This record gives sequence, structure tokens and C-alpha cells, in this order.
Amino acid sequence: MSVKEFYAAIGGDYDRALQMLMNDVFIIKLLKKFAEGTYYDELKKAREDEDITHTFAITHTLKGVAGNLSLSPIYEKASAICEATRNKKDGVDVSREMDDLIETTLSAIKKIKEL
Amino acid sequence: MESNKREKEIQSRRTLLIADDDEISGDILASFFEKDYDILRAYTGRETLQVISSHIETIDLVLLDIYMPDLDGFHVLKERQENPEIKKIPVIVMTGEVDIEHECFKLGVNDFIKKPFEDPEIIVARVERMIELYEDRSIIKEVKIDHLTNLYSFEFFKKFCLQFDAAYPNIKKDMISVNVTRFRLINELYGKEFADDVLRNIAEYLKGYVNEHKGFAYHHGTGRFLLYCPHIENDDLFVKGLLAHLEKLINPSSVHLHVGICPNVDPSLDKDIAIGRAVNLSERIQGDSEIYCIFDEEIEKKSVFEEELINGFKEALKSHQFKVFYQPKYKIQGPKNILSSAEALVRWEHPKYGMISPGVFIPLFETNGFIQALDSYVFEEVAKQQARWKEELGFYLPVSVNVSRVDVHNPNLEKEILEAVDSCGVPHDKYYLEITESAYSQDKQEILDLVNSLREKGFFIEVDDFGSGYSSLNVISELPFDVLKIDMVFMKKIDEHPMNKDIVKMVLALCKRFGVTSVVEGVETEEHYRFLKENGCDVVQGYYFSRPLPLKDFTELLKKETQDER
Repeated sequence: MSVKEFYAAIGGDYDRALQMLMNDVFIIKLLKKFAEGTYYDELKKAREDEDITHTFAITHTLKGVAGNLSLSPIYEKASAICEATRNKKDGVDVSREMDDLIETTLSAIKKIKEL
Repeated sequence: MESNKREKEIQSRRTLLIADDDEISGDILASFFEKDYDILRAYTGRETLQVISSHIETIDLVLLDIYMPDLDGFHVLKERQENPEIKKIPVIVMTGEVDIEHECFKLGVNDFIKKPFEDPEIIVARVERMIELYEDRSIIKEVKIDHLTNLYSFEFFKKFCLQFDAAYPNIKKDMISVNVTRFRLINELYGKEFADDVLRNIAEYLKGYVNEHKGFAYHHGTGRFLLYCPHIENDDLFVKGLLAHLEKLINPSSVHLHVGICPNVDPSLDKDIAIGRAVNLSERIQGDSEIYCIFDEEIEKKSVFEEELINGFKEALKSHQFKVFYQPKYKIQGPKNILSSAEALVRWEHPKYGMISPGVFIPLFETNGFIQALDSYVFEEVAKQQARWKEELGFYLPVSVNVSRVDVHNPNLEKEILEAVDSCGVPHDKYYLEITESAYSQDKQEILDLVNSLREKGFFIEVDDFGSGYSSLNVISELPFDVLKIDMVFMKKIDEHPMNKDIVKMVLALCKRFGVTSVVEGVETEEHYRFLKENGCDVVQGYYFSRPLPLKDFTELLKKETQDER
């Protein structure tokens, strides 16, 4: 699929992404970086370790990245999880709510034809 | 259109540090700026501080993320609060959290950018505005003005040079040093108040000039100024304008103007070097006739080269890099030309530059006084060699050594010569001392005393380079000497002007009349040789017979010629 179709498929905001990132080439480059990134692995690891601080930190980063790439569903979920985990002692499981979104997005990225 | 483009380029060389642990956000931010800015990146708090301290002079603004591994953004801000140098760099924090803004402001943050990013154009505009604000503020804050002249202080001058380069990378600029020489004299003659007035007035003029040309000036010591301004096409006009202004202020005969100009300074060149070059140029101007001097690579190369020679001198002396060459002299009035003596000439076998001719280093060593040590070395080397030849060949070959006009002021000169010669057992009458005619015209009495004393001890005195300067026949009548060496310029001129033949003939006749030996140098052709032989010249020296030879070759020649003899 095209970049535009990708954004439609995951419920992202293509127009905003284009305004910010100027062209598909740059968008694809960054999506690829996102897919190759360790965000998801780190999120799972923090959960296994029951490390709430790191869960917050990685969610916070995800919120920033997803926001800047206009991956709206992840952004919104990450924002919510950030608030839920901020200054908390436990409750790492809340980050599970993001797993599906991330997995869908990652597999959708692989389907972009110019990748 | 063209000027718009240039405007754009002028603004284009600022440096941003993007400190964000998230590579993607950093990439996006960088994409907003990379067309017009140089971008530095840091991914942790510690790294941020490292990059700041290693680029403290170049970073114009830091875009800082708060949540970062190892040290977070707050930590970076606290460090910045405590370090006045870092504090000069504005920081914009990128954050999605509203509630940290208060704390950030307390830590001296200048502005915020919301995460996720919004309109890129607004982000760029905010960064630009903040940088401009800071540049103005830091200039106002840091200007240390010289109270007398209202010109910038040295540190600020250098800083301004850098900022000027960064703001106008594509404009050629000159570094100029202006010295009003003997300024102290004005102080003494007219009093401090008047002198200060003059200084202020010159400063005013220079300031007016550089302001008009968008440059700036600095007063560094009484009567000395530095200017950094866009390239001046007509240096002559600039200098004459300044001179005319100066003449209105003071009697021009009491001071002089010396201006050193480094045109089109390479912006990557350290400012201290550029300043040094301009100052050196203005200082190397001597006398009253020259007013300004323009830097070029040749001058620089020459001064670097000369410095290298000076620095290498002592080692060269110690490790025998100076080689004595011998140029044979022939007696030409007999049935056969006889190699009768030689002139010792020094060459420098330099480890880097190879063989250097004395024409290059002697004038240099005459100005800094090394010539005395070098001449003493030659005195010794020659006497030792004469002793070796005596051993090898059975006779003392007369050799002439050059006594520099600077040596004449050395009170130990005579002692040094005597020690060198006597320690080798060389008879004094085999040791000839060449003293230039021009030395005699400068220091008559000293030379007369020296020559008389040396002749009493049996040394032969040769008057060297006769005819090369303003020759005077007084030399012949006043100075007691044994040999007159007629300069090679006469031989060169013989071909150009027939009258020179008559002059040489006359001098040769005079030598006969006074009973001194005549030597002509620079004999290069058969025609020269025949002419001299016909006109009674006693001895000749020159390429027609032999160039100066290294010791080994000369010894061989000497053996061959003396064997033929016997």
C-alpha cells in the first residue's frame, strides 16, 4: 500500500504527517526507523521487570514519536498510559493496552510498497 | 533576487544543538533546520553537556528534551545555571508536559516548543528570534569599551571577528593594523592631554571609516589600532585618507603612519594569527617613505622560512651543517695561470632545505647578530683546513675569509682570529681577511684601528667588493691594505658599457702604482679573462676558472694543479 493508505489503515493523520515531514520519502524513512526501533521490546521488558519508571519513560518516548509521526492511535494511547503511570509505584500492566496497536502498526509499515 | 539569495546565505551558518534521546524526533527537528543551520546532535544529558563544552564558541542555541537517559534535561539546565559560558547560549525546551514549564523557567529556559511538534515554520521562527535576541544581548552585555577611544576591547574584538565571519560568511574581509609610530613622542612634546585628544581623534576617524564599511576597530596600546572590515579595494585611498587626517591633527614630521594589511583573511584562520600577521606587517615597515604593506603568501613564507633558519642556527653550528666551500683564485700574469689562493665561502647544508646560499642567510644573521658566531666558526674551520693541507701537500695555501661589517663591532674579533689561526700554527701571512669597502665607509675609525692592528701582526687585508657601492678613491688612499678586490659588477657591466673597461683599467693601474695586489671577481668569460690579463690584473676569481667547490673537490683540484706545478 501507499503511505497514504498506510495512514488510513492504522487510523493515523496523513495530512498532518505530510505537513510536518514534507514528503513520503522522509515519512517512509522515519517509519522504517520506528519499525526497527526497540520501543516495543523495551516496553515489554519493562513490564516483565515490573519497572514502572521505565514503563513511564518508554511510553513517554512513544508518545513523542507517535505524535510526531502522526500515528494518532498510538499517540493517544501512550498519552493515556503516561498519565496512568506517572509517579506511580506499580501498575505496569496498563501498558498492555498498547500492544495490539503497536503490532498492527508495525505489520502495516511492512506493507508499504516503497519500503 | 541575487541580493535576497545572499541575505539568505548570510543567515545560514548558525549552529543548533538538538538534544533528544529519541532519534526520530531529532531527525524531524533537524529536517526543519538543516537547510540553513549546522546541526549537532546529542542523545543523553551527559552527551549534551559534552557537546556544549566542546562547541561552546559555535553553538547558537540548544533545543533540549527533558526526559533523557543518564542525566535528564533538568540536570543540563542546572549545569548551565552554574556555568556563565554555557549560560550565554539560549535554550529552548521541547516538551509535551505543561506542568514542567514553571520549573524550567526557574532554571533559566528561554522558551518552549510543544511536543508533538506543530507548525514547523513557527518552530523555525521562534528559534531564529531567540538567537537574534541573544546575539544582541550578549553583545550589549559583553562590550568592554576602551574608555579613551570608545573602541572595542581586544577580547571583544576577537569575538566580534568570529561573529562577523559567521554572519557574513561570503564577504571578503581584511585585518588591518594601524600604528602611529613614535606616539610617545607626542606625549612628551605636547603633554598627555593633547596626545589623548589625538588618539581619540584618530579613533573617531577609524570608527567612522569602519562603520561606513560595516567593520569595527580596536585600540590596542598607545597609537596602535586593529580593524576588521569588509575587503578594501583601494588600500592606497584608505591609507592616504588616514594620513591626511593625521596631518591635520599633528605635525606630520613628529610621527609616522605604518599600516599592515592582510587582505581577504581566510575565515578558518585563527584570529590570533591573522592579527599577528597584520601587526607584524605594520611593524616591519621601517623608515619614513613606506607607509603600508600588504600581506601576501610570499612574505609569510619568507618570514616562516627565516624563523626556521634562525631557530635552527645553533644546532646547525653544533652539528657542522655549515660547510666551507673554496673558490680558487688564479695568478694570471705568469706564463701559466697558477692556483695561488682561495676564498672561503660558507654554505648551509640544511636538513630540510638542502644547500642554502649565503646570500640567503648572511643578511639575516647580520641583522640578528648570529653572524659573529658563524664567522668565528669559519675562521676556525679554515685555519684547521690550512693546517691539514700543509700536512697532506706540504704547503700552506693562502685563504681569504670574510669579515662581516657587523664583526667590526665585536671587541673580541682580533682575539678570535688570532686564536683560530695560532692554534693551528698557520702563518699570519697565509691568512687573508676580506673587509668590504662599504664597511669602511660606515665605521672608518674602527676599521682603521682593526686593519692596522691586524696588519702589524702580519695578516693580509683585502678590500672586498670594491666598486659595488658608492666607491670612493679615498679608500685606496686612506686605508692600509694589501689586496684590492674589484667587484664582479664591473665585469658584468663591461659587456654593457665600454666605459666600464676604462674604469677597470684605471683601478688596475692604481693598484700597480700603490703596490697592492689586484684581484677581479666574477670573471666568467674568456673575453673577461683576456682583457684583465692584458691590463695587468694580478689575480682573478670566477666561474671561468671554477665555481666555489666543496672541500673534497677543491682538495682534488689543488692536488692536481700543484702536481702539475712540480
